[in-house]
Amino acid sequence: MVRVSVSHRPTPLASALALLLCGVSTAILAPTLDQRLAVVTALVGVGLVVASGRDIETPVPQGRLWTALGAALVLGSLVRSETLADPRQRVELLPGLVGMALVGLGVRPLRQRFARRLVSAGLAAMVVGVALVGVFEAAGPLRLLGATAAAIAAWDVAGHGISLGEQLRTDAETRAVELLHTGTTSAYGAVTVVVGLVVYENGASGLPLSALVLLLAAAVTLLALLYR
Amino acid sequence: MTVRTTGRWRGIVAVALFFVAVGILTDRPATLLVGVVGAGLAVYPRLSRPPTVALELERRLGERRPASGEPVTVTTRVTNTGDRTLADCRVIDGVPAMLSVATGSPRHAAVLGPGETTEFSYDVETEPGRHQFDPATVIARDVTGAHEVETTVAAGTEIQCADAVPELPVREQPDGHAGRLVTDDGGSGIEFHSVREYRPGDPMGRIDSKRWARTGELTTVEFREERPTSVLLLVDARAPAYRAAADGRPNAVAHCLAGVEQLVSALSDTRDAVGLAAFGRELCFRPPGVGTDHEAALWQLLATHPAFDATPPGRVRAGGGTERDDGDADLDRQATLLRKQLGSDTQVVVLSPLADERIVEAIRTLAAAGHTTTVISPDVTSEGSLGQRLARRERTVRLRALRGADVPVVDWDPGTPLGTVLLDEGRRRWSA
Repeated sequence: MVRVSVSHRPTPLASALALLLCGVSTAILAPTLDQRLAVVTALVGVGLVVASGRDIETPVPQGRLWTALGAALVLGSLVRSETLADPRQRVELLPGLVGMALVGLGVRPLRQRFARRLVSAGLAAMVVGVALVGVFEAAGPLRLLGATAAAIAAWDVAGHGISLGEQLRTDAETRAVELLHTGTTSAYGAVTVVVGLVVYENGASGLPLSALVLLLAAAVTLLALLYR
Repeated sequence: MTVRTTGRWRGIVAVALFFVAVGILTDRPATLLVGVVGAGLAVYPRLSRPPTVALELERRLGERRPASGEPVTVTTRVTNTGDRTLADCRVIDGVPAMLSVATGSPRHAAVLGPGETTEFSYDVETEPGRHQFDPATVIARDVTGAHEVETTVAAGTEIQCADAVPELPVREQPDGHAGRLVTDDGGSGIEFHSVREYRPGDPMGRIDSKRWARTGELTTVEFREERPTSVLLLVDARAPAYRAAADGRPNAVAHCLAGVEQLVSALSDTRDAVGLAAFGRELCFRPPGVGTDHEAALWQLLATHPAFDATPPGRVRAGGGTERDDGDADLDRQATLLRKQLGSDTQVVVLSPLADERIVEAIRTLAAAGHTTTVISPDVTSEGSLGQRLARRERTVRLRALRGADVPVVDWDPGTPLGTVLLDEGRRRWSA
C-alpha cells in the first residue's frame, strides 16, 4: 500500500519567484552595498526557512536545523538594518525585510488558512516602506514606482502559487503556467512604471494644490467605479 | 460551466488610494505618482475577459484489463480546440474513487495555445472491480487570474479488474417461492422433510401411496421448501460515510459502491430478486426484482443516480463553491420513507462504514420493523492520532451494539476482497 503524502503548499517555483520579487522591491529602495548585503542575507534566510518547511522527506532534526539557520539569517539581517548608522537607511530597509519575511511565512506556509493573509501583510509592510521612503526622503519617482510594482507583482505571484498549490498540489507539473503568469504581471508592472514616469517627466509641473485635490476626487471616483 | 471572478486583485485599489492620500497629505508628488502604478495594476484584471474553454480529453491506459494490484499507467492528453490561448489551464483528472494514485500526479497545469496539446501521465493502483473514470475537472484562469472558468471534460474510460463475489450468503427467512434458500419448513421441494397427516387440498403427488396401501391411512410427504429471497442492497452514502483511512485513499462510500457492484452481479446470477437503495443526498430506491431489464436498470442507477456519487457532498470543489449539505435531519425521513416502500419479506443488506450513531439507529429500526437485516461494514478507520483511535473504538462499539440487537455485521477490511470475507463469514454462519 502506497502512502501518498498530500501537500497543498504553494508551488515552489512561484514561491521562489515571489520572494525574489520582494528582494528586488527592497533592493530598489535600498541602494547602498551594506543594505543590499542585508537584503541578500534575508533572502537566503527566508529561502532556507521556506525550503526546509516544505521538504517532507528530510528527517525532522535536519529540517529544524535549516529552519533555525534561516531564521537566524533573517534575524541577523533585521538587526543589521536596525544598527545602520543613518536612520534613513534603516527606514529604507526595515519594512522591506519585514515584508519579505511575512511573504516567506505565507508561502511556507506557516498555516494553510492564513497563507493569503500573511502574503497580504507582507505587501502592506512593503507598501508602508515605499511610502515612508517617499515621504521622508522625497525620493525620485523611479525608485518608488519600481519598488511598488515589484512588491505588487510579488504579492500576485505568491497568491498565484497559493491557488495552484490548493487546486493542484505541489507534485503537479505547473512550471509553464507559473512562469507565464509571473512574466505577464511583471511586464505589465514595468509598463505602468514607464507610463507613470513618462507622465511625470512630460506633465505640467507646479500644479496648485486645489487642482491636485480635484484630481484626487476624480481618481477616487474612477477607482470606485472600477471597483464595482 | 461556472464562471466566477476570483477578486484577487481587489486589495490593490487600497494600495493605490493609500499612495494618493499620502502623496497629497505630505505634498510629495513622487509618492502621489505611485498611485498611478497602483491604479494601473488595479485596472489590470479589467483588461482581460474570462477565457472561453473548448477542450478535448483523451485517456490512454497502459493495460485495459489489468490483474488486481498491478499498477496501470494512465496517460491523459488535453487539446485546446478553441481559437483562444488558455494562459492558465488546470486539469484535475477524474481518477475513479476506488483507485489510488501510486506515482505521478493526476493534476496538471499548462499554457495551451489554439490547437495545442498537453499530456501528463500517472500510475494508479488497481483494485478489483470495474472502475469508471469521472470527467476531468478543468479550471481555466485568464492571464491576470481575475476570472476563473470551471468546467468538466469527459472521456468514457474504464478499467476492469477481474474479481467477483462468489455468493452472497442470505439469511433464513419465512415465506416465499421456490429458490435457493433451503428452509426448515415443509412443503414442495427435493429434500425430505417430514410426513404428516393428510389435509384436504394437499397435492395428489405428495400422498404417501405406500403407506396408504399398507395401512389405509392418508399421509402427505413434506419436502424442505426452497425459496428465492428478495434482497435489498442499501448503501449508506450520507456525508459522514465519506471517510477514508488516509488522504488520497478511497473513501468508505467508494468501497461500499464497489461492494454493491460485486453483489449485484453475484445476485443476478441467482433467481433472487435484487433491489437497490441509498441514503444520502436524496433517497434512492429501486424495489427488488428479477430479469435482465431490472438488472440493466440497477446498473444504470448505480452509474447515474446522485446518491451513488463517490465524491463527498459539501466538499469544496476546486476553487470554491460547496455543494449543498443537508446534514442528518434527512436520515430519519429517508429511513421512514424506505420502510414504507419496502415489502415485509425483503432482506436488507446494509453497506455502511458505521461512521456515526444515527445509521446504527436507522438499521436497528429497520431490523425491529421485521426486515431480516445484515450489515457489511468496510473498515476505514486507522491507528494514528488520538482522534483516529477514538473513531475506531467508537466503530467497534457500534458493531457490538448492532450484533447485540441481533443484526449480524460483516467487518470488512477493504484490503481483502469482499468475496473472501463473505465466504469466511458464510463458513462461520454469521457470527452474530
